[in-house]
Amino acid sequence: MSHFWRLLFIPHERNNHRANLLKPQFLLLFIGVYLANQLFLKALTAVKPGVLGYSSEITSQKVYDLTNNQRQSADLPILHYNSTLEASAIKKAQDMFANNYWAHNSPTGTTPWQFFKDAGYQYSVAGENLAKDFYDTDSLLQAWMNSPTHKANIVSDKYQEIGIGVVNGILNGVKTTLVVQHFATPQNINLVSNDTPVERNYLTGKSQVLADNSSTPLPAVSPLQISKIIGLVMFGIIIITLIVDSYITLRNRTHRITGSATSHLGFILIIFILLIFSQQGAIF
Amino acid sequence: MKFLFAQIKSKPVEYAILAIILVVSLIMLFVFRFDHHSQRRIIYVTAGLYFLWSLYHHYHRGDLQIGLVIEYLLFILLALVVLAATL
Repeated sequence: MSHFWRLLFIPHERNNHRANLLKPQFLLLFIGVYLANQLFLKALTAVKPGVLGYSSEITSQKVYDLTNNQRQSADLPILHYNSTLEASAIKKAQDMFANNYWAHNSPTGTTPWQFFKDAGYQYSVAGENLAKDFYDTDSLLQAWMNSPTHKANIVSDKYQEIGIGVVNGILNGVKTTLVVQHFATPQNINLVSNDTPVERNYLTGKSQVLADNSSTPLPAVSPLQISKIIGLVMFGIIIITLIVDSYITLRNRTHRITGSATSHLGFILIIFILLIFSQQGAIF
Repeated sequence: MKFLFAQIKSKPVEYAILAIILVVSLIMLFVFRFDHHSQRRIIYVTAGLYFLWSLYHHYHRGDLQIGLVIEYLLFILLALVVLAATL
């Protein structure tokens, strides 16, 4: 048995001087295992929607405060909170859950601007920022500020008002929190409001929306984290095997025709680093 | 690390090209660290360039064989499968 394990990592005449784990059949096995894990997670989210997901502590008040902090840092006036814009932002988030999409325009072609109009907001200029899967408000704002297009909305002097929708629900079978920022300036600037964000916990089902004042915690295990850990373990094993295999081959001066270990290591290391530093959460 | 230097010394220009591809890719991935759509595109381009580099490298070494092509393709496929699920 121990010989079997050694041949997985160490080149030897019994494995034709190539660690078994680096052979095509084992690379295919890695791919197969990973795809099987993905299928399992997909099946689990289909059979029991919401079993996996993200736990979030984001609130519209925190998003509003941090947004205005960023504006004040840029010497811009704060945005006034508008409950009509909040209604349009919440409707947008609910629409993404109901129609299972993640984009500015819906699959049926509804633009963000339609939600402003449906909520009864007459704007001269308007903008939208979207985010999902973030755990805390600081990382969320940081992500937006690191993206030039999202930052342009947050620190734009064109906007005077904002409405924020923070809605929990199930998107593609996974529980998550969607955050929508709707920025605008009303056509009649005398109508600039001064509302305050009201803390609500919105939960969406497949088609209905429940406004609920009770706190409903979301599960903390995310499919992304599971996939990421499995990916890191697989690439870690491959990196170690590549190093051991190349070192022993060089030491034994074995001549063989294989791919360049240096190039494989370089490419795999890029993927490994990307996996380690990839942030939970996405913006659009 | 000896084996790395031994390989690099044998074809310094080719490995310099590979290093440029990978370093530029890493910088771009950092720049677009909060934009997963762009990160995916960067990985597709990097994987394509890595594959082209491997063809060029082994053609020049005179050992370009179907088995090697499959090996590179499987490394790329594994990377893309993992990133498709995590980005």
